[in-house]
Amino acid sequence: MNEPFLGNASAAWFARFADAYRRLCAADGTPNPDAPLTDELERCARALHQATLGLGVEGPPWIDELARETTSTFLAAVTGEPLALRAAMRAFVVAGDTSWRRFLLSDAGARGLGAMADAWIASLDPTAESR
Amino acid sequence: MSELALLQARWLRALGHLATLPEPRLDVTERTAVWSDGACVLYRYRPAARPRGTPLLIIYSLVNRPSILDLDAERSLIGALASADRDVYLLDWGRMSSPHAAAGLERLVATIASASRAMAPRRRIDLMGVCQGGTLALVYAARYPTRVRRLVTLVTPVDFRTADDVVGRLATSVDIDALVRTFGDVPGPLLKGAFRVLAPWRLSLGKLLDVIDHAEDREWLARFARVERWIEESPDHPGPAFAEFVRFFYRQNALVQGGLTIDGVPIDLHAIRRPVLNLYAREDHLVPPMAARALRGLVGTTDYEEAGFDTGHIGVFVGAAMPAVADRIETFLARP
Repeated sequence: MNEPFLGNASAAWFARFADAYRRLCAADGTPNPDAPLTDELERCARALHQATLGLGVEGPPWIDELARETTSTFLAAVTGEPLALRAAMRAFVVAGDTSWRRFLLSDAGARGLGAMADAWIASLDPTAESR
Repeated sequence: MSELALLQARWLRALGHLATLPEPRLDVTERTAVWSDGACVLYRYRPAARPRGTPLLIIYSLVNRPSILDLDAERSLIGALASADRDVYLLDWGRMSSPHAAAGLERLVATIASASRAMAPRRRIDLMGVCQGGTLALVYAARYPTRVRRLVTLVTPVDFRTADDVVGRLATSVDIDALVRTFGDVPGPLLKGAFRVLAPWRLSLGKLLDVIDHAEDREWLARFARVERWIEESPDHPGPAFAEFVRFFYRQNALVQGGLTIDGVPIDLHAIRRPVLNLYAREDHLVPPMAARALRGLVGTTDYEEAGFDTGHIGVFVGAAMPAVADRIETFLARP
């Protein structure tokens, strides 16, 4: 069992996700150094959101669902609000944990994490070979 | 960009203050070890005056150390109770390992029984259980109901099947027997990581923002350092007891549905007929309020009180709510 903790499929998914995110950021224009940071954060979150929605690559569906949920929650919290950077970061903390908690309480979330943890434990279990 | 520079400057100032703090010292209230069994030690806290009333035994969780109850002089739940001239004892599980806890839950309950006899051989005791220690205190009180005069449960899970119980979701999704077979005792760092997973943003970026917000508040930073030290001191959890705890409580929900026996005696919370005070935190992400409040319908006494506090799981020990928590406990225990 040599898979990374998140599994090979997840690792590949993250790599493609990052690539799509970079492409979307580039298409949206390079960051404007004079723009308020909250605008920049919002632009990045929107790009992330679009990347997640449009990715369409194979990967664990819960990651896609979670990323979409988190960015949606974050956007709902900051869009249209003249938030300072620190307040935006606080909003992101709340959005991230709220989405994550919702995910953990879902059947898919609990099963997904449980399966990953079991796979990791099995890879360390010295008696697994003999059973 | 000026906002970012400001935050960075505050962060650096906070780091500078943290670097000059003395080594955090926990367990600040004066105490004496009066009994021990292997790694377990029973501590007695010296009251300011001649102790009055029934002695109080505090049972803490095996997850993390009980130092959080006695973190510093200003925020010490134990200190607050002892300063009310109460005879306070703490059963410190120490750093138990599997051989000591080979019998799992029965051994833990037997240890509580031995400690209670050591502190008051012929008297009833007042008992306070905290978090997992509260669950163990309930089992003890149901097994030995005549030994307990009053019972306090603090952020204690009772119903392990509430819809918002994230810990329960995870605990029942993982093959705990395989975990214990693989590791023996469950490593403290693994438990620490598992708790971090429950609120990853608040416990990473959120903490960073907290520190930045309090960059000039040396007292706050000192308390932050002590809490961080406490978190880092997570002991291993004895494997057999961990497996049994998950099996009986998280999987079988034994306090609600039954099925747990100790020394052949079925554990039924209806056996608890003495007064009960049940305290919970409204923002507790580890023990949801509903999981704690389920106790109301399960104990055999009508002398039942409960109170919620606007704080989280740790806030009841070290947050602004702590003095009110201590007052509530003291008022309950002082009742004739």
